[in-house]
Amino acid sequence: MQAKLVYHNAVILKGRRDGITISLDPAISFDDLKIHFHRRVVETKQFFEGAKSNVSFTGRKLSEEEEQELLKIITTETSLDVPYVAEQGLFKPPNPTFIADTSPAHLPHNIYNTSYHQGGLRSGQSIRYSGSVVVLGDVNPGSEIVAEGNIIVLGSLKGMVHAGCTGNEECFVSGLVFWPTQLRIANIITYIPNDKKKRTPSCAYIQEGQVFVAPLVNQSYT
Amino acid sequence: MSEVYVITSGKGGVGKTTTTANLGAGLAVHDKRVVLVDADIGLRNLDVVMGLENRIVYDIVDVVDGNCRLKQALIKDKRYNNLCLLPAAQTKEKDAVNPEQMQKLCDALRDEFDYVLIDCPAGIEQGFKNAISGVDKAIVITTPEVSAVRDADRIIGLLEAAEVRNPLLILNRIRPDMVKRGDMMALEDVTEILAIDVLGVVPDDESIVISTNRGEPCVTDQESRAGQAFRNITRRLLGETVPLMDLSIDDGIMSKLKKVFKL
Repeated sequence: MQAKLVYHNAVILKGRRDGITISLDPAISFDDLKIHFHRRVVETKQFFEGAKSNVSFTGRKLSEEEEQELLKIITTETSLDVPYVAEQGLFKPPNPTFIADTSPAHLPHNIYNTSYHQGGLRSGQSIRYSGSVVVLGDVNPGSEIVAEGNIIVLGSLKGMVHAGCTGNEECFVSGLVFWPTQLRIANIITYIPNDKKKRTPSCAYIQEGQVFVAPLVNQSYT
Repeated sequence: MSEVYVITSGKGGVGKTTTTANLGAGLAVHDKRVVLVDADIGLRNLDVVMGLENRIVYDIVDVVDGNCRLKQALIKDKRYNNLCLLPAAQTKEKDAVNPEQMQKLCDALRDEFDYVLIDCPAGIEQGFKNAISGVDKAIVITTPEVSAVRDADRIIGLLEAAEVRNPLLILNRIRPDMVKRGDMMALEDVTEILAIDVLGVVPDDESIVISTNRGEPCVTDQESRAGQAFRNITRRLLGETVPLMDLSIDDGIMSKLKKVFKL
């Protein structure tokens, strides 16, 4: 009876807002723990069901292989998708390669400070920033945004934009109505031809030395 | 021998930029090497009227500040190889350039081109002073309205004070039917006040709006009456003697034809 109680507490699951904390008994052997862990996971299957959550282990020091073994149990027994494992309740920043593997489209891993602007830009106004720029509003013809990082316009983009102005070809430009007067990324200058097409939300980037403009959403939705 | 012209008016919206674009294209048709300089820093339009906005990389402020070479900032026109545009900066102010720099710039352009046409900003402040500082001759645009004529008169006085002698007049947006009814000033009424030589009269024409919005000067449009007026003005600039268009008679035939076809 006593033993069973101990076993029962060997693995304790706690749901938190930002993930699941699993506290492990440090006193028993890892093999025993594994058996309890497995049983516990199967028992509480609904707890994991369909969730996409971070997992952190507490209470016991785990080697990397041990951690992997426990994670493997979770992923094989449940439908929980584990984006990353946190250590001691402190979350590691996501590993960029891991993001690239799981996100539907690969975005280059460029990290910049971001400057946010509420309200649009009118002709003659300009933003120059040593990082990325997000504008919540329209960017009218005759205005310009020059950024060392990426440029995102949540509104119509009709001004001149220059992303990656110091030469980073991995930077991108995005806008909801995508029709910049002139589009520059790194050292490439181009413009969108006036073909009277509907301007859909799009993203422009460089691939193999050429600028591509891709729609952000499926054409059939717009 | 190259010539530097400023196209100015004092009042805004009378057609300085349209005239600059059309004269530039008109002279280019006659195989002259032409450069258009947009001196309206902060409110640039000439690039839009020429349909060259999306090709701008460097502008006049970059040139005078030494950020680029003059040749890098010159944009070749889509239609004419011998026509170039030096665009204004849009995000700067008029005082980004001073008269001495403009004079130096005009002298540099003189070496490369037969005609330098400077599109002057409205007003009589810094932008105007910049625009006229390196010029040989001036073309004053006005419309047949008392306010525009008043401002043109002021401009002519300022040009004389700056030793730009004998400006030429273009009367723009005239409507022969209104003149006939006595509701609009006639050319004679305007020249009586301004007392300068007339370079041409341009009728009010829808094709100007269309061509401006398309970014193509209407001077090459054989159908356009304003285009014909600008072709005549171009030939006069080149030294030919071309009589003024007889607007009233022509218009009568046109309106009669229109009526016939509408019936």
